[in-house]
Amino acid sequence: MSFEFSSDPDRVIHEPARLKIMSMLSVLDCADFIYLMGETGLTRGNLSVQLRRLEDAHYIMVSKEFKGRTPRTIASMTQQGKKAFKAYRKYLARLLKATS
Amino acid sequence: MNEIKRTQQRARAYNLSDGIAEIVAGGALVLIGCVSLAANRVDSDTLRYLSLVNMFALALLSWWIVRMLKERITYPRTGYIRSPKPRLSYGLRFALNFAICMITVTLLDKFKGDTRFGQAFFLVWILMISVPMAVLAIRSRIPRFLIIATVTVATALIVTFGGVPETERIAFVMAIPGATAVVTGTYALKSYLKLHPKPDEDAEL
Repeated sequence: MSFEFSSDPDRVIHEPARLKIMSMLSVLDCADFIYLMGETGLTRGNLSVQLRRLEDAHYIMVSKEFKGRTPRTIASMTQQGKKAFKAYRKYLARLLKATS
Repeated sequence: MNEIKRTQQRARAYNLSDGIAEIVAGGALVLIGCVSLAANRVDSDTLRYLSLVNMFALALLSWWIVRMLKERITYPRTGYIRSPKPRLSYGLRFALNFAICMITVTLLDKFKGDTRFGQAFFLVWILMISVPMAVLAIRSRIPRFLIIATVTVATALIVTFGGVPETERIAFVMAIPGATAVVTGTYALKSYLKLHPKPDEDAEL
């Protein structure tokens, strides 16, 4: 498996906080804002920005639902996001193999 | 890649980390075990049928109780996740479990007099429960499931070779590991609540 050192990883996913979000959503059906905030350690504002960035790239879908009177912001990965994450993982695997 | 794997592992184990499912499942097993034992000691067919109905009713009720407790305790503190749907539908899994129970009861009834078959079958059945639990403990990195798996196997060996009547063995193997699960689950929940204090009312954006 050859690796092109001139190729770039997907910069939308490559950013550490967004990579964590995508990693979590790749094994879950969905996760809410509180969970993502706890796992990434980001502030609310920063997490909102990262989620918006992923949503703009059509990698995730963000929706709001109500549990009783409590609103809940839910994020889930789209099909496009799943493909992109899979490609990103392959990129990393090829990079690690080429440099080991 | 390791960081990705660790993040994913934590996500997969999240629903088990608060101990709530363990407490409820353990409590249900203790109840089922006690009703089964009472049915045998009193020698009542009514109680035996009741213990069977009890088993299925508690299995369904437990799911609802766990969900309700998580909505009140876990989700406001550390958030809500939904795991991917299992490959087999719930209906199909329920039917499969029911079929396994029926086959087990039928075989045990058919070979009632054969002590060696009864012992071997019982121990195989116990391994079928304990081994996946041990695998879950390793994959989810939650060592307390290893304790439950060990207690299950130990209890099974003690009741099989310790002179406990055949008709009471399953009751003990449900009640004792069930009680263990309640203890380990309570410990996990206490740690979880200490680590994650109650959030503000307006925590959600």
